[in-house]
Amino acid sequence: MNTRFEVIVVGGGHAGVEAAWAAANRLGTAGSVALVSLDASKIGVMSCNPAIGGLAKGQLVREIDAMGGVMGLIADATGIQFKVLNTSKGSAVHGPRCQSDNIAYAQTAQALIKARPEIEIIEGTVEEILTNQSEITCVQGVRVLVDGQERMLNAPTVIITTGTFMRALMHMGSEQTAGGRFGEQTASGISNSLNELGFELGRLKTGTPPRLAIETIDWESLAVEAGDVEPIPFSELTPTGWQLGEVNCDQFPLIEQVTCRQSSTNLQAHEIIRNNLDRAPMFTGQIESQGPRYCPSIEDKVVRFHERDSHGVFLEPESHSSNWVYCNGIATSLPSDVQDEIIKRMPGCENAKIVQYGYAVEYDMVRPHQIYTTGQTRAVRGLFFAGQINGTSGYEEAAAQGLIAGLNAAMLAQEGEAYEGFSFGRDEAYIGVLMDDLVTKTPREPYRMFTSRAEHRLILRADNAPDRLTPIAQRLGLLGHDLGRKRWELFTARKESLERGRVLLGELRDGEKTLAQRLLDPDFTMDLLKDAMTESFGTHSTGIWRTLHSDTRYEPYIERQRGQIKRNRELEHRPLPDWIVYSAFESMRNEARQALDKFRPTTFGQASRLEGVTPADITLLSVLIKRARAAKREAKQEAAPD
Amino acid sequence: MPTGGTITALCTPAGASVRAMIRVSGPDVCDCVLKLFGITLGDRGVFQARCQLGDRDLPVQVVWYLGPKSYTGEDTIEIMLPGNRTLVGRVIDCLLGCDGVELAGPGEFSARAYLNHRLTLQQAEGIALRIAAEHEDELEAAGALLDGSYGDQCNQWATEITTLLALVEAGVDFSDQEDVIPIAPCDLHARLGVLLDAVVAQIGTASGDRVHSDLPKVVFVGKPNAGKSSLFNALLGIKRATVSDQAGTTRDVIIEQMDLAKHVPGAGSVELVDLAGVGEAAIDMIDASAQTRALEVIEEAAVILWCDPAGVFDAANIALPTATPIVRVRTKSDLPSSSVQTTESMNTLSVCALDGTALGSLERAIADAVSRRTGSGVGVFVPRHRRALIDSKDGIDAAIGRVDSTRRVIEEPELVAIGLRDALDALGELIGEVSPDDVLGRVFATFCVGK
Repeated sequence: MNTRFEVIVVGGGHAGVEAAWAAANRLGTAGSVALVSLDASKIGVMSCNPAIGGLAKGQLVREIDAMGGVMGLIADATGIQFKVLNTSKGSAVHGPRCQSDNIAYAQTAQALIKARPEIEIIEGTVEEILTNQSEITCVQGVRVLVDGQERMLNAPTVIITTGTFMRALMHMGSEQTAGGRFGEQTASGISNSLNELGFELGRLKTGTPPRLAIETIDWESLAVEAGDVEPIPFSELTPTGWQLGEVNCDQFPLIEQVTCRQSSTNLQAHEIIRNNLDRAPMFTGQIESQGPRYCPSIEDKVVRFHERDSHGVFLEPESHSSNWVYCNGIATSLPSDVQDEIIKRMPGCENAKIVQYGYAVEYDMVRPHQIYTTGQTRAVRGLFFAGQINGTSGYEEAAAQGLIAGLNAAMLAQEGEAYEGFSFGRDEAYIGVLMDDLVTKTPREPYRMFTSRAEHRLILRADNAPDRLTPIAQRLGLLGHDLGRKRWELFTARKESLERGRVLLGELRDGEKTLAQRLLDPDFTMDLLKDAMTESFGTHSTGIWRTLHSDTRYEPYIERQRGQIKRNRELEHRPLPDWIVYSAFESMRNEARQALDKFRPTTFGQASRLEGVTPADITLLSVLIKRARAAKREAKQEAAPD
Repeated sequence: MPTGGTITALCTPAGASVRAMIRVSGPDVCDCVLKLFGITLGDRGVFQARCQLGDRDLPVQVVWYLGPKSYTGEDTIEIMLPGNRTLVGRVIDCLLGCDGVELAGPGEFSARAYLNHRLTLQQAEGIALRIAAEHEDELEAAGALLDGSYGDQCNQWATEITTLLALVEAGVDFSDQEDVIPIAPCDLHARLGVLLDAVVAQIGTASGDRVHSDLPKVVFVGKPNAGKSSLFNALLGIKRATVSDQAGTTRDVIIEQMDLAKHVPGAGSVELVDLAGVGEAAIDMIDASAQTRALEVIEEAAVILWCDPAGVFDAANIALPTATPIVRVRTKSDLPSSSVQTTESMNTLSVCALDGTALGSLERAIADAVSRRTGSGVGVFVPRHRRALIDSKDGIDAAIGRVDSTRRVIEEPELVAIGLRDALDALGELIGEVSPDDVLGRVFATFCVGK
């Protein structure tokens, strides 16, 4: 077994897979990346909802794909229902989503990882994060227990992506079990290590609904939820097909499509829940940590929205290879007998059998003001965190952080002292919004992406993700792999088509107006554009049409936003040195000083987004920083012998 | 504090004066001059120009500095004009109508001067400190004032916009939830219309600035021995009124002129009026007549300083005119408050006449209250606030333009949201920022989301 790596990824969830993939893309050397997982057969497992994408999350997947990531590829190869959400609204808020065959998803993730010689999978438990004891604390590797034997794995960078597994505690009624996912273990060694390294930990809660056996549901009696008639894949590679290792995605959709069903809760079910609140860990005080407001448990919904007599439940088949059905809408940690009773009251589920009960899980997170927007920790050089450990929720949010951490870890391993790090601006990508929010906000619940978090969402669209990011991926050396080269070819062709299309938009006319002018009218839809242009422009993929349409439709707004971005750019990116002692700034208001001291922003832009920091504080800060720099220079000159 | 764009602001005190100076700095200065005065700028120099203000021509003098040889180190013009608030306001409005020109933030000219190496570190630090302090004072003073109907109104508008934005965003970010039924276009259109009318009316009352021949009266009101006279003296900086521990020391009406501009840039002069205490049974005949006279004077007040050492401000015993702006002052702030139920957190200024604690904030609150007095009813009190309202109005306008009330659904909610966001950000300058998290919070509180 190899024990020397450039990047060690701990955890094989969605953050870990994407981190290993990005690092492999950048490094390109066989055996340079280790992926350490408690159980290699659980790599890429979907712990909760068997779906990828959705509102704002779909944009994240498209961005990951444009950066040469793997999530879009796996989703395309394993989707069993594709649907773009919000199509009745403008394209900036379209959200591509798919239901996944969750067994196929994990298998495909594992197969793709195996097809990368750069990545070595190591099955074991990480017992300790190894660091040196010099002036700057640097990570050196991890101590792993493999088959009962201790091994030292060495690397200049380690990415921790342990999801919900740190000091994980599952709740179902009064029953409490240690573990981060049903039937699996917990990772306590890492929690201890992080404590010893001085990280401030927090605790969060999340939950999952019960799963039903499909043959026990009166499936045909329920209202059908179908996907799009013309499904659209996530990845730019999929329309022309791709192949890697055992995975051959030569058609789309690749596997048989399914429909979902709709059921609901009723008053009787709500009555049962109310009568059993004294057995609900959410209400008895057994669970103290904060869960997400956007994903409340059914007991929460019944209590908070007591005037409602019904809540919708979507029944989503999980896989062609299992009989499990996911009950979207009734996450719960009520005792099993209560869950049985609730299910019985749902139309179509009168005789349904629960194959796995819902549960809540509490887990440790590291408060994310302790990382940079690159994912690297402030305290330990070379140590990165990605995914749920940073207090986020969702596969897509995890994968996005994995991509950033994997890329940066590989860069750090290659560049050493010269490493400066890469991160996206809030105006470049949802990934940039995500990382910036993490380092400037106090997490009060698991963080989830919404389009309303992105102030530049007209620019950050799903359709133009390749235009925004693929050139960056190329520049960062993420497209050296076969798939990456193919991606670059496709991108070049796309760029040419778009350029030609834009010229035609200015030339072709619809009545008095050019098509470009006509596009500013809300009634000029993408289909009308197609009709007006196909004759001279030829046939093109939906992706091309969508971007041509949206870029022009939003142009006046985008231009205004770009103006704002340009005006703010200097301040946004002006760096704040890390050696500044904010407590010495006595002329600054206490509140501002404390916020700066805690979050230690790396740019003035970040500083201006902290709670409690006003524009006047920023003016003062710019002067105080300059003064501190001058003082430091002076001290250095005095110390230096002539 | 964005840098790089073109900024403008009045650089001389805002009150009536012989001359006022408006500075414009940044890359768009030449375009501005061409648009406003029809003049193409050459080298630096001074020239006369005429500024078109509606049907009138205003002669102004323009001093032109080619960057980097200017105060800010950027291309700069300084426009000299008569120091009349209405004229200044209209010229600034014209400037803001030019492409790329924005109102300068606190200390922005100086910050640019410093960043362009036109100021030394010491100079810059001094200026930055003063700006930070003034900003604090301003916020505090605005907070004190926002207790009145003006603040209530701004808060109401902001709440309504936040609610509407939350409804629009819910339709965007939670449209996959069967529980979320976004607002219907006709409802949104109607509610935005009501909002727009209210904001437009407010801006209207502020634009017709009257010239006041008499100085505004700032009247001290409070129970006997509330510390009114001590505060009166402290503000004047002289021992004008007789002070004692004895209740009912002041029996005459004492009037003194005070120039607020000394400490509050942009403010004018006022008359401070010290009165006998009111609200308690008269101790003798003379006191009774002094109280009667005091009540008459209160009616004429432009601004009332309600002094109460306990910080309780019980309106039961004192009848104050409802239309007059009131600044609540907890006097004798060096003494522990006698009541646990002080309303200190609710926009009250705590002031100590002995050591001068918060006198600066008080002066600023008075200045703002005075300028708020213009127009009928509740007016806009400083030019910055008026600008914020206009920006807010523009945002609402833009949002309405994107809502087709004949449709069943809002077709491009992302564009409606942009207008609402702009409107909310503009109001945020008056009442504090409403963040995307706040909007999401409202969605979670309103809708049952989570499949």
